[in-house]
Amino acid sequence: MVNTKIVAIAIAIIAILGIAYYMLAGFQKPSPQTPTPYPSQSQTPTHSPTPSPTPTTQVPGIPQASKYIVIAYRDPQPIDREQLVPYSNINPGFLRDPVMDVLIKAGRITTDAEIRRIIYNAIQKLSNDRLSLIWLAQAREVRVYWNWIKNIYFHPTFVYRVDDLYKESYAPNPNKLVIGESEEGHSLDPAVTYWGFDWFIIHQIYERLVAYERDNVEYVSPSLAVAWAHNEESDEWYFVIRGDVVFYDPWENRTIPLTPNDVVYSFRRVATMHLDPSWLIEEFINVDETTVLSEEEFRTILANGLYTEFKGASKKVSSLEELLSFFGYSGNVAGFVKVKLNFPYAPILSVLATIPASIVSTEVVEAHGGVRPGEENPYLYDHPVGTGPYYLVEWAHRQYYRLKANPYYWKGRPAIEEIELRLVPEDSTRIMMLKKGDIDIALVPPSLVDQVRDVTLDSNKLIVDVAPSFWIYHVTLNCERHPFNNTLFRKALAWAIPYDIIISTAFNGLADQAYGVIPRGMFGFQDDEVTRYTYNEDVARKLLKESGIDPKSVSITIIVPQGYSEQEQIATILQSSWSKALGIDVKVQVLSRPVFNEKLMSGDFDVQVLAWGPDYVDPDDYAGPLQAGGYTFADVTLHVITSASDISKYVDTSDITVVTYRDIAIVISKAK
Amino acid sequence: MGDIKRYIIRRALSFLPTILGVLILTFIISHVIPADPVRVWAGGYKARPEIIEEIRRKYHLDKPLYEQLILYLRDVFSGDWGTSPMSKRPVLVDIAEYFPATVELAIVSSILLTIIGIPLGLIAALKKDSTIDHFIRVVALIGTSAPAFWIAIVLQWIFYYYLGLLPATGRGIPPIIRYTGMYVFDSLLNGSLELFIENLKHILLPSITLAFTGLGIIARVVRNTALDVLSSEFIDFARARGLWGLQLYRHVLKNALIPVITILALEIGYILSGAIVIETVFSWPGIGLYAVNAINSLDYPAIMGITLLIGLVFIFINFVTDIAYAIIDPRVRL
Repeated sequence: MVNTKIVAIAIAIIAILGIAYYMLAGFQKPSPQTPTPYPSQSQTPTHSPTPSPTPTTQVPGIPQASKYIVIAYRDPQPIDREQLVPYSNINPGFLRDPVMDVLIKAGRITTDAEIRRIIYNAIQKLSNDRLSLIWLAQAREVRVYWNWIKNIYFHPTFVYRVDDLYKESYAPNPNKLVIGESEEGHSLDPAVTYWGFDWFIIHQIYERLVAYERDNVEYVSPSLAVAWAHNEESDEWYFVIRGDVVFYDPWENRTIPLTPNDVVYSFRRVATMHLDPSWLIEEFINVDETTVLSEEEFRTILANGLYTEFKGASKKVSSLEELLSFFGYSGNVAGFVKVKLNFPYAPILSVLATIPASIVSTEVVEAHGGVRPGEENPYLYDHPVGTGPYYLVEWAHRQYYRLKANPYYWKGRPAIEEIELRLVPEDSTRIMMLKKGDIDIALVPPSLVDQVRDVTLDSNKLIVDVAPSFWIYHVTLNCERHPFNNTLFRKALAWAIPYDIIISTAFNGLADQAYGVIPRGMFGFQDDEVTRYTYNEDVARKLLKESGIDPKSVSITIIVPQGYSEQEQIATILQSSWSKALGIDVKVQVLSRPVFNEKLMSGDFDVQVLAWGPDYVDPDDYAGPLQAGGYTFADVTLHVITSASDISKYVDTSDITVVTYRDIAIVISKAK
Repeated sequence: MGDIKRYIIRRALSFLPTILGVLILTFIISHVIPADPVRVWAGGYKARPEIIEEIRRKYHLDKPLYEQLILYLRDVFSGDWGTSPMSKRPVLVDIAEYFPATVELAIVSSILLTIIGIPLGLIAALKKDSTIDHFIRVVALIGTSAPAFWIAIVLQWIFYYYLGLLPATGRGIPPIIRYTGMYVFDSLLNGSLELFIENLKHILLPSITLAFTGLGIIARVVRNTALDVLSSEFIDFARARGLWGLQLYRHVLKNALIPVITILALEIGYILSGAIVIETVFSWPGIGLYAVNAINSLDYPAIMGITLLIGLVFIFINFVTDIAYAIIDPRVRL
């Protein structure tokens, strides 16, 4: 007699396996999960690796160049170890580097776009050579959206403005844009939150003095400010505030006109509250000396001459009319604001385009709790009142946000009437909703890209857009520890990394190798004079021998934060390739985020793997935090000359450092 | 019933030491981890040192451990469960927002669990070794062995993606007047049938998933107990007396219920402590996800608040379970 029980169980098991197989077949990548064996010795690399092409020449002579950028510094002082803060005044690898510091400071004070570009090109080159951080890959983002969405673009800081888009009428829900998100926001107050997702929503509701037009990253465009100018030192900036702009308050159903006082109030508010993102304002802006100016005061200042740059053109202006016509603005003006900086900082315009520089309504804040030092405002947490194209209707925690078009928006009512941001933390569910057409746009992790290719709904297609992001994944070596303080040893490590395997495995092919601190696509990036590291055991072993380090005496622990699969995979690959190529003992440790951060900041690690993303679109946001050299100077000045003989006018030529890029030489030395 | 009254008082008195013990233990464990959570609270490694110092002072983290504990206990008993540095709101407000969602899910899942699980177990017992019995036991096996998120996604795929009958995620629409914070019940109390149905649709998939995973155990336990009871002497005696049908099976049921209550209590406790996986897949804003986020960012006030809450929940459930035993089984002496 057939035992029914066994048959039943057998059927069940087959059914489960069948369903499981069907589902996994959809989820699994075609390529194997474990790294394929790395290239053997016989494979010739595409670029013949010259061990450390030294770009800096410590020679008495100065190379022939068409232009010399002479940077003179005074009184270099190394910062005390206890005062060092990684990502602030020292790079996370704790490598002391006065030359890099000089370059970084020079990049900050120059307003000439061309000179700045050269400086960051040079920083890029050096960063690729110093190797306190080894540069791995620049990730690409996968954006998936239906073809009924038009005019879409993606800005490298992940922020697009919904009022720039529209939906075709044949879309299932043409008046509503549904965006699929994976995590919940923290606060809608621009002075409080430092999280990317919150910034996206705030970007649709609040506005700032300047903004990036669509996916432009080269220069900012007028937003709430219609024109700007600065003094010669670039530490006093003046903004002309747009007229006829109103805040819309949906809770009291009224509009409030924007005044220049709101601008000053907003910056002071951020500084007083002194919360997570306030450093973006406080670091650069002296809020106490930032004030509203009357038209007369501004005209008086203008009469003495101010400088302005826009879209690559620059001009010296001495009247309001001249300034406004340079920007092509002929509408009403609400007033004038003077922004005083703590030090001359050319990228200040990029900073003013970030969320913490959003303009809030003085009236609304004062009526609901005002500004209290160090404290959040519970009203603004979820009652944003801005001048932007959308306003908040509802925030159902951990479920969705609903926004509606602002009928009083100064650019005109946006085409898409409603936005819904659905929070769907589970990737497969989000993809299901996307495929069904219930979600219009969603971010899809690179490992699941294959699930969304070739998806159609009626006659519509799901578009898979792989776009570069500015996120750079890198390995940080603790240069305070042996053997990482040995430059040749660091170089050996760099030549023993299979960059292509990291990209194909950890990023599913969706990344590009990074060659230095500035990401591809950002102003200042160059990749024609960088060392292109590849996996090369010969070179790596030769360097190891030259370094004098005995591999058997070395034991490295790589730490990664928990929950980031790319970092964990990278660490695993590093472990196997470093031990194979160099014979070093390597361990990997996955730590919870708080523990990881602790070790990071105190310098208690050997090697760590992290990614760095942009706060604002300027190379200084990368060069500064990731390459700072732990020095201070009394001052740093810049002189651009064409004749080498003039160099000795500005600096002491007995001990110079020269960094070349193409036909330009940067000469760094003590000031005369 | 004086027995029961005395029992209740005795149990109530033992609440306090238990809760205290739980609080102290969690406090010590979460605070002696060698990590500094303040940097995480301040927004990560880009945070400025001055901000970090301020946060440290605000949360008393610069004081010795025992002082922090005393301060915390004092606050809890006066109703201040602290402010979460991550959500920037009082922990009690966070809990009041997320806990009702979990409770709602627990209630609906438990109802489904019982009305499906118990009859299944009974049928399996009555029709022992038949095809139906085997089928039910296979279903039970799937329920207990298959991972919850897999069941969740499969159900989503069938009912949302393929059939388009139920929504994939979310709780639904909050009724205008909030009575309990539970959408399904509040919509009834608000008198709106439309809202009720909409919210019911949203809660159906997550609660079926949860019920499915607990179904197996309940069905098996009921089956085994029922089999025991059915083979016992007093049932033979009842049959001999002429009892049949519902009257007979009422006896079977009553006896089978005791272990069921135990299992049910455990299941509800598990659901109430936050079925994180379900919450993630269905975007169900319960305390499970809240708890996981709090732990990952070492959000001390939230962790303590959740622990306290779950402690209270389990104590309460145990208490109710014991009372239920006493009512159902007169043999149980309190």
